[in-house]
Amino acid sequence: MKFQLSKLLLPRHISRLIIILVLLLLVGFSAIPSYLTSKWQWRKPPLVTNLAEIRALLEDGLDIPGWETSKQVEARIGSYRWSIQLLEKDNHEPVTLLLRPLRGHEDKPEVDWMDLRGFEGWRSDLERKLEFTSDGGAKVTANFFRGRTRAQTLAVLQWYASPNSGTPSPAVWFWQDQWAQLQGKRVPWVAVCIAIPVKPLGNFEENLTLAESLAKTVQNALMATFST
Amino acid sequence: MEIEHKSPLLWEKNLVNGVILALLVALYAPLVTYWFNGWLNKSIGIEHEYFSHGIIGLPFAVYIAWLNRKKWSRLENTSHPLSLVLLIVAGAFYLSGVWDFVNLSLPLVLIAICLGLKGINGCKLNYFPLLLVLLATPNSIPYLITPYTLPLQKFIAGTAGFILIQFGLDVTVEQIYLAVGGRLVEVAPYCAGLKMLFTCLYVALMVLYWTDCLKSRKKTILLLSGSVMISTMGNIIRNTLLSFFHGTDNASAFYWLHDSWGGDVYSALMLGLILLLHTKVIEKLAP
Repeated sequence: MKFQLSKLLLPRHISRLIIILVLLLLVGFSAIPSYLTSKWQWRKPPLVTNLAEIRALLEDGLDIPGWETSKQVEARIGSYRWSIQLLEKDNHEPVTLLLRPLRGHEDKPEVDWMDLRGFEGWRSDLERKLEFTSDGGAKVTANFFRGRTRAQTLAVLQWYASPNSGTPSPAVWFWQDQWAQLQGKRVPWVAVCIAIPVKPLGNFEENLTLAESLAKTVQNALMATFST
Repeated sequence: MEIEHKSPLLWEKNLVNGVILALLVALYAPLVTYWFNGWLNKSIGIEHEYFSHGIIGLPFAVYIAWLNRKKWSRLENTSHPLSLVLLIVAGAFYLSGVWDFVNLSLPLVLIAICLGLKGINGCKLNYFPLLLVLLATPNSIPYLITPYTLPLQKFIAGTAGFILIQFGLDVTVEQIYLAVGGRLVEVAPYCAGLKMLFTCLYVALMVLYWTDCLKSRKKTILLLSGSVMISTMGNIIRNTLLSFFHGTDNASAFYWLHDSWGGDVYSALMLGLILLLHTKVIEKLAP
């Protein structure tokens, strides 16, 4: 036999050796244990730890300090179930708070803002992003715009609330969640929409203070829900 | 003498290839089986189905690589440094256990092996099977682009509404919503036809490769843009039919086209049209 082991170590052979070695390591450390337990990690992402508590928002709504909930119902909007809640305070017109908690471990935020727009029949203008930091230290970016229907003019805020942040963009949430999955965790989320009735012809920016303080309170209340 | 000299070499080469192949199968057989299961039984999710062209693409890729085996063994044994980098990245992706990353590790590992055994020429020889595998690897891009399909949805809703009005139906279009006879139909992001568009382009690529037309830029561009047109028009007609069925309260026809095998027949028709376009028109053009 002319086959010699030393020949395998020639520079031009080293790369095949490395390939075989790396593949062997992967088989040994990852594939074989998975075959033995027939559990493949990629089949099931890590679970959202307190899904039941977050889902309970649908039935119970969310307690907002300083506001009184005068009505709360669960309703279907688009393809999903939402909690619709009326918040009242002093002599302010009732504010609507809509919440859609994730449906299951694999549910992803998607076209919720479009669904809401179709459902409410809003025509929007003055669209911009609103950034704020909640008392718990979560940095939140929200969509902020003026929504009009025939009957009402509203200041609308929308974002996906998560334990440490908030964003209106499904893609931003997606990458946060991927990063968390790499560490064996998940980023739970709740779609939030706040609609505050405002004067049709008033200066729209005047509503900013109320919108921001209410948004902060909602984000805080949700953060408490996430950590129960 | 010559035989004695050659056979150990051949034996060694086959051993190396066999070991690499066996290891790849051990690593990826469960994953790829799971992909196929998801495509055939529609059991994983709507994003996964965007890559169902892998059902034909992956076997085709294996077949082409097999046809290339003699050319492959004639290539000089050399390795490219990028191979090691890709191999490490692919290994890390595989170990992460996160769906998208594990999936992506398959094309990466295949490219790394081509580069590591035969250098750039190995990659060039097998560029097409590698491309087929890469484009059939399930990932989250369909999910990430859904917010951007809105203009397409509006266009489809508008055109479908226009067509239905020509047939004398009472239709109003609001953004992505069609009200047909008082019943609302939504052109959802997943109705925008991107899945069929991807499948059409993928099949067009396979046809171009198979008929050796990829070298002609003119034929490639013509067939690819023809496929885009066929799938877009097909999808508008499909959405029009669906709105019509829904608006006229024909639930069984709606179900047939939307959820049952009617959709598959419709897709097959579109792919047939692409084949027809290729064999009857494009293939006959001067290069």
